[in-house]
Formats: sequence, C-alpha cells, structure tokens
Amino acid sequence: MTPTMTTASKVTALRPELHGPAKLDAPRPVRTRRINREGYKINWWMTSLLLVASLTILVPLYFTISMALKSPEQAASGTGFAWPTDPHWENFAQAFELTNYPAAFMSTAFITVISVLGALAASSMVAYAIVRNWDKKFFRLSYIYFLSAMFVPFPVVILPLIKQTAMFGLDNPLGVAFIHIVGGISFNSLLFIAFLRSIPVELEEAARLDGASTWQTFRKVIFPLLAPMSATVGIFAFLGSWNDFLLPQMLIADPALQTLPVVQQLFQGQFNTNYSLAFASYLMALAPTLLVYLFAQRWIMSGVMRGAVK
Amino acid sequence: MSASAISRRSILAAAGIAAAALALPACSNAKAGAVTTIRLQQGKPEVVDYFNGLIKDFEAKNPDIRVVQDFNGGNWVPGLIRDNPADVVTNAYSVTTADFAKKGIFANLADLPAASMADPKALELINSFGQYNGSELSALPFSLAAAGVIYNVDLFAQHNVKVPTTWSEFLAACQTFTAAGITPIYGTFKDSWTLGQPYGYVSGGTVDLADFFSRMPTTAADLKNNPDVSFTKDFKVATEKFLQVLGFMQKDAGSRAYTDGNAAFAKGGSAMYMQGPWALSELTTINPAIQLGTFPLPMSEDPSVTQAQVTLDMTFSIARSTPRMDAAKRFVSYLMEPAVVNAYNNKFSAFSPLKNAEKTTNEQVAGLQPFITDGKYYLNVTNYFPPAITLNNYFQTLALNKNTDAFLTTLDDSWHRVAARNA
Amino acid sequence: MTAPASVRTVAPAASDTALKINHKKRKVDPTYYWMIVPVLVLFAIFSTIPALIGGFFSFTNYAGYGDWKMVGLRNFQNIFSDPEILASYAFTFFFAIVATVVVNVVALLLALGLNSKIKFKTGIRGIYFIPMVLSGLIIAYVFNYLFSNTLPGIAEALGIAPLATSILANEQWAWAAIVFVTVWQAAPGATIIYLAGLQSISEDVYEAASLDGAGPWRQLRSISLPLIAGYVVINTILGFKGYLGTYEVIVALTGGGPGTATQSVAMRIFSGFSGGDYSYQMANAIIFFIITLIISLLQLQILRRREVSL
Repeated sequence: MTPTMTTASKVTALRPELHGPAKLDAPRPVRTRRINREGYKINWWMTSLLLVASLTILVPLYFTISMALKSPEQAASGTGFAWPTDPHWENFAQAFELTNYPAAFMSTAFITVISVLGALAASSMVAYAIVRNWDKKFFRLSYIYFLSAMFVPFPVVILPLIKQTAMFGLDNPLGVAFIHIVGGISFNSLLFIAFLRSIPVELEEAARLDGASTWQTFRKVIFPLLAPMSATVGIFAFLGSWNDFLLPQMLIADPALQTLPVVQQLFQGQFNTNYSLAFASYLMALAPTLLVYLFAQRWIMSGVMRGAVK
Repeated sequence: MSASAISRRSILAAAGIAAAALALPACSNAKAGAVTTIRLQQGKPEVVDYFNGLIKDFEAKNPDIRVVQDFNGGNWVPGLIRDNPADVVTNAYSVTTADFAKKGIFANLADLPAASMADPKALELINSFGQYNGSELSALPFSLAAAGVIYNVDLFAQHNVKVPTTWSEFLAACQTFTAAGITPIYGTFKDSWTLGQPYGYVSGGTVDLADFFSRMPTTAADLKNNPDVSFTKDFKVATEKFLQVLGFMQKDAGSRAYTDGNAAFAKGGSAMYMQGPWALSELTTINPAIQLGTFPLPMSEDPSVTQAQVTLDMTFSIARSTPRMDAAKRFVSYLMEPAVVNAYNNKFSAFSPLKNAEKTTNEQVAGLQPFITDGKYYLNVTNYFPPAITLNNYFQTLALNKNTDAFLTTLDDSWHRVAARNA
Repeated sequence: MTAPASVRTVAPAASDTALKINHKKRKVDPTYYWMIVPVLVLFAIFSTIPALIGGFFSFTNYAGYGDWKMVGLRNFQNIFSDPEILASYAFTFFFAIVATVVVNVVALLLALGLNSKIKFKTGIRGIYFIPMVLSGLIIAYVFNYLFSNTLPGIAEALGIAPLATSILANEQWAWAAIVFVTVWQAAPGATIIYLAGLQSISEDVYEAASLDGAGPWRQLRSISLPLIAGYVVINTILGFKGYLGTYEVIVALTGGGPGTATQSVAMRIFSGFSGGDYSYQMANAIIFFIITLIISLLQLQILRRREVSL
C-alpha cells in the first residue's frame, strides 16, 4: 500500500479505546493508608512541581492582562510586572472602537461557523465514500490525491487563489471559509477515515436490510456514530479558522469585513508605541477562544485527545 | 456516546442560528442608491484615526461619495491581483512604489489642479524614480517628513553646547556630553529599521544619492556592462562615519527598541536622538515638559553644503483601473487642499510639499525649515533599496559586528543579485 | 498487553473496510460519487489548479501584477547561488530539528507528570493546554515584550549581568527565544498525544511491575517509554513539517534578526509578495516543497520500519 496508508492504519492501531481512560479515573482498590477523592495516593512532590512550572503558562497571561490595564506611561516604563495602580479599563473601550470590534468579531465568527460546519460535512462524506469503496481504484486514487495536497506549501497557492476567489465572487469571508474547508479536506478526512475503519460494518448492514439508501445510512447511522471524531475535527477547524491571519488578510477585499486577527495590525506598525492599547486589543482577540476553552475544557480535551490517537 | 451526540446537535443548532443572524447584516450592507463608495488604502496605523476625521469632513461636503479606509497594508497587492485595487492609495514614495508606477498601475495625475500647486522639487523627487510612459505623474506629494538629529534643548544649554554646523563641531558636542557623563546619542538598534536614520544622515551628507543610484545597475544587461560604481567604492567614508556615530551611543543600544529609546530620551537619558519627526509626538506624550529641537547632521566642515534628509512620507495615487475615477479624483483634490495639507503636516511635525507653503509653526522641527525652503534636501537612502534587499538586517549586522568591508560587500552582492533577476 | 500485538495484526487497509456484500464486480452506488465528486472538483479548482499556476509562475518573471514573460530556469539558478536563501535553509533546518527535539522532550515530561498521581489533575491539565487555543502571532508579540523589557529588567535588578540585555538582540542566542516560544505553543498538542498513549497503558501492568519490585524509574524505562515509542514517531513527523514552515513567531519576535541570524525559508518566500520578487520566491517555494516532500516520505519510510520492529 501507499506509505500514507501505513500512517493511518498505524495510528488506528495505537487507539487506546480498548484500555480506555475511563479505567484510569475509576476508583481502584488502593493499598495506601489514606484514601481520598482521587482514589490514589497523591504525589505531592509532582503536584507542586507541576504547579510551579505552570507559571510559564500563567505569567505571560497575567502579563497580557496587566499590560492591557495600564496607562501608556506605565506601560512604557519598568518591567511590566507590577499590577497597574489604577486600572485603565477605557483601553478596552478605545481598542473596541478603533478596531470596530463588533464587525470584526461577527466576520470572524461567520468564517468560523461556516468552516466548522463545512469541514464536518465535506470531510465526513468524503471519508465515508472512500472507506466504503476502498476496493475501487477511483476512490483509492481520490484518497491519495487528497493526501498529496498536505505537502504543498501555502505560499505556492495563495496568489493564484486570490485571483480565483475573486473570479468566483468569493473575495469575502465566505471565500475564506470555503478555502478553509477545501484546505482542511486532506487532514480532516484522514481523521474520519481512521475512525470509520473502527466502526463495525454490521451496524450499517442492519440499516441496509431495513431498506435504507446509502444517503440515509450515512445520515442516520454513520454520521451520528462519527460524533466523537466530529468533535475533534470541529475543534481543530474552530481553532484554525478563528486564529487564521494570512488567508483573511489576503482574500478579503472589503476592509469592513476583516477578521479579528487581521485588524490587530492597527497596533503593529513599527512606529506604534501604545503597548497598553495594543494589549487590550490583543486580549479581546484572544478572549473568545479562551472563554470557549474555559467553559468547554473537558469536552475539548477529550475531543482533541481522540483526534490525537487516531 | 448519546449524550455527546445530543450536545453536539444542540451546538450545531446554535451555530446555525448564529450563521443566520450573521447573514442578515451582511445582506443589509448592499449598496444604497446614488452614493459612490471608494476605498482608500492607508497603511500608516498611527494616522488611521486622523484620516477617519478627514473622511468624515469630506463626506459631509460630498454627500454622494462614501470613503472606506483600509489600513490592512497586506490588501494592496491582493487587490491588484484580483483587478480590484483600492481606488486611492497612500504611499511613502520609494523605489517600491515606483515599481507599481512603472508598471502603469497608477493613473496620471498631471492634469489635476493640485499637481500645479505642488512644489516642483517634490514632484521631481517622485519622478526621479522613473515615470510611466516617460511623462506621467503617478503620485501627488502630501507630506514631506524632514528628519534630522533631535536634541534636548535644555541639556544643550546646560552644557553650553551650540547646535553643530560642521562635522567636527558635532564630534566636539558628543565629546562634551561624554565627558559630562551624559550619553550623547540614544541608540535603539534592536529595532533594525531605526538604523536607517543615522545611516541616512551620514550617507546623504557624503554621497550624491540620486546620482549614485541612477548609475547603479538595475538589470542583468546593466551588469554585463560592468559599471564602475559600487557601494564599496562610494560608501566607505559614509559607513566609517556611521560607525563613528554609533560609537557615541549607549552600551546596550543593541537590545533597546524604538519604544525604549523614546522613553529614555524623553526622560533626559541622552542629549540627541536620531529619529524622524514621527517620534516627536511620542516624546512629548511621555514628557510634556521636554524642549526639543532638530538640526540636520552636518557631514563636512562647510556649513553651506549641509542638507536635510526627507522622505516623501505620504503621497496619493489613484488606481488607473478604477471605475470610480471621478470620485477618486475629487477625494484626492480635497486632500490636497492647502488647508488640509497644512493641518496634517503641522499636526505630524512634517512639511508641506506645496508651493509657497507656510513656514512651520512647530518649534521642534523649525531648525529644518531653512533647508526645506531652500530646497536643500535629499531622499533617505533606504528609499532607493528594493524590498528584496533586507537592508535593515544588514544595518543591524554592521552595528553589532562593526565590519565596514563585509557590510559594503554584502550590499554590492545583494544589489547585483537582485539586478541579475531583472532581465 | 495488547497494543503492540494489535500493531502487528492490523490488516492491510482494504480487507477490514469493504462491506461483506461486496463482490469484485459490484456496482458502486451513485450516492458515493455524489459524496466525493463535488468535493474533488472544488479541491481541484481551489487547491490543485492554484498550485499548478503558482508552480508555473516560478518559470516566469511575474511580479504578481503587470506584464511577465518566461525566463526558464533562471529563477532556480539564482536561488542556488543566493547565499541568503541558502543560509535561510540552514537556519530553518537547524531550528526545525531543535524545536522537534525540545518540544518532544518537554511534552513527554509533561505528559508523564500530568499522568502521575497528582492533586487537581483537571485544573492543572487545563492550565497546561491553554496555549493550544491562543493565536500564535499574538502570543509571540507578548513574548517579544517579555524578552525585551521584563526579563532584562528583572535580571538587572538581580544583578545578573549577562541576562540584562535582550536575548532577541543576541545573534548567537536569538534562536533560543524563538524555540522557547515555539515550544510554549506546540508542547500542549504533543503532550496530549503522549497523554493519550500513556493512558492506553493499563494500570495493571504497572501494578504487576511494582509487585515485582520495579521502582518508578525502572517502570518508566521498561514500560512507559517503549509503549509510547510509536507516538514519538507521530509527534516527530507532525511537528517537524510544521516547524519547517515557521513564520509568524519569527516575524513577531526578531523579524529575522539580529542581522540576518534568524531568517526562515517561509519568511523569504513571503517577502516575495511585497517586493515584486514573486516569481523568484515561487521558485524558492517549489524547491522547499520538493524538500519537504522528500523528508516526509523518508520519515514515513522510517515509520514503517519502526512498525516492523514493534
């Protein structure tokens, strides 16, 4: 088989489902003296080590927030570590207005929603068609064709892409979402294909015997079964399109429809020295993904974890 | 499994509603009636707000035109690629802009009334980079940023230092400050672009830049003729003097950025600061009490040959292909009105490039006014380099390693490589 | 332990996927074509055709706008005699190798720590995975400030002279800062993959080992590491290709400096868009594409051999 095929089967093989994370978290008989909520003897030494090391993550975040609340004079002096004496909340209002935050937010959200939905629909269908017709040359070649695109560097395609999207009237957020979907096909269908291989064919045959068409089988049986992997693909698509900078910058013609990462340019000129305003704006651009993460952390983690081992 | 399916479905539903909600404002955005909308590509983030004000004023006077400002500089070339560039574009005019002009991207503005109001010397600088069809005027000058050595007036007075008018007076001034324990010049070469200022002063004062670059080979054919012109030959003195100037900067200049420099100089951290006028407002924001002046760096012992350095900091061009030529021209004509030009240049400590321009009222750059009035100015050396040459990075290497010959050889090699690519 | 065994027993891709009702000459349900063909067409239009056009321009002197003509292989010849391009390749490979190694070491240690018997497991994991959801560009801007102002400020206050200047201004060590920020952003993703691998190891194995008198170090060496070796390969391949294309972090941290010390290939390629140097950098991109492809194929080859040895 092709080398790429090997990766997929290999990765599938390492799938831990048989052993399952659930088993780990379940309370287990313990031989220690003290039984606690975790069900195991706490390694306090490791806990404190990890807590100390987590400062590497927390300090830059603290720093971003504290910078965002400073006056320009405070921001330009010292190490930036001190918490602002009188927080300048108006930095946020000012950045909000300068970047036209609501418009940029809506545009980014629009691209993200379309990208996620499109990635799920297109990649799952492609994966299903390929897996179920692997004995046919056409589908095998399609698979290899999709995979080959994973190696094409982005700069090679971008300029012709600008021209083509404009030709089709797609020099707007919809076009960006479109290219996100097309560009993600390779990786996303790879994930779906790996997952589909683990779904027993019997489930599908039952539906077939009840007279369901291929489309109905896909829609009613397969797609719901793909849910865990859809979560993974959806999360990657969400993060990828929300944080993307280059595509919207180059594809969107109308400045009023520009996305959050791109409007941050307002603060990145070489002459710009208003750090506090810049950080307030950065923070507002980071906030949506950060909030989504905080609220859906468990869900995202399990989703990403599933994708990782496929 | 089923639980996650339900939550996923509800999320999808929510996403669908969100998408529908998003689609609505997008629809209502459609063009309304007889109003023409034009796009202004304006790549200086620090004046975005100011231009929004100008646009408001213009729209009030011209209700049939709407102007959208695009500060995403990365959108200009994509606009060209999709045959839909911004109608009006601002540029700091340089060899890069001229490349667009030479390919016929910009409309001819020679017949606009505003063209006859512009100072011929400024127009000559624009045209010196080459004209489309040999005669067209591709850009109108809006702002002439004259740059020199910014100095702390109080520190100069305290140490009895007069504004130097010759190279040796300048060196003496630096030595006076060093002896007094004051850093003569604050350096910020962590931001490599800031080195373009001092290098600009020393090279502009020792080499006839316009002449030099007109003789440098720009195509493969030029290279074959083996022209007798090179950086190694003509820029040796300039580069050595550059290193001499850098020697008067503080020790940690290599790890200081532009922002640090502003903060330090504004608080009296050095007597002089080699920056353009854009730094002035930053400096007074940090220290409103500071007294500042600017003088052109004298590069010889003859004060009469000293010139100021300028950049065509903002010029306006109109895309040749725009179907809204009329509206675009009206907008540019509005921007080129003397009142608008003067207000902008006063506000940003620059000079008006119009004929018989009023003298600047800004004390901080008044020291450069005589040179501008007499037309004694040259274009910053960096404006002559195509962006394919990573000039600022070379400056940084030079500043850190102080190897004059290696720097000049690199410049020559790099220049020749780019020329060789142009058939 | 079933994981290694299952690696070996995974059948060639086709056999476990084809429906049992399949016959050699079965007819493919047209629905499958409807699922894949539209995506194939879009993929061709928005991925393959732009790539071919982009490749074509590498044989021209096109600037991205205006007139152009064919110049044959001249761009390629010029690339090979351009010391700066060659230096950027050297730096990029050096960086990619170092980043791959450091990311994997850090991620492995982190995964072992997060998988151990610690208190606040969910919370601590939650913190460590935050970088995954943040925009890389913005984070790099934050770190730029930290490296330039905060760290030197602290070092000066503590009297540590060598650290009192910004590492970003140091020609010898600026790359280390870039690696640090890259690791900061990339380690969580790799950690998740390792964590998934570690969780697939049954607790019983450790228990048995423990009863046999194996200490923690011995357990790590003899159980954990061998069993997650496959994940190391996955992380290396996924990571290395990504780090070869590094762009945003460098732009935000050093801009390729000090001097020309940290210019990556991707930076050079993107410079072609602003400088009228488009076709020249397209030739560079094509060379880059070929090199990336060769490396990926080599890695897959190694992966396959690895599989055998498992």
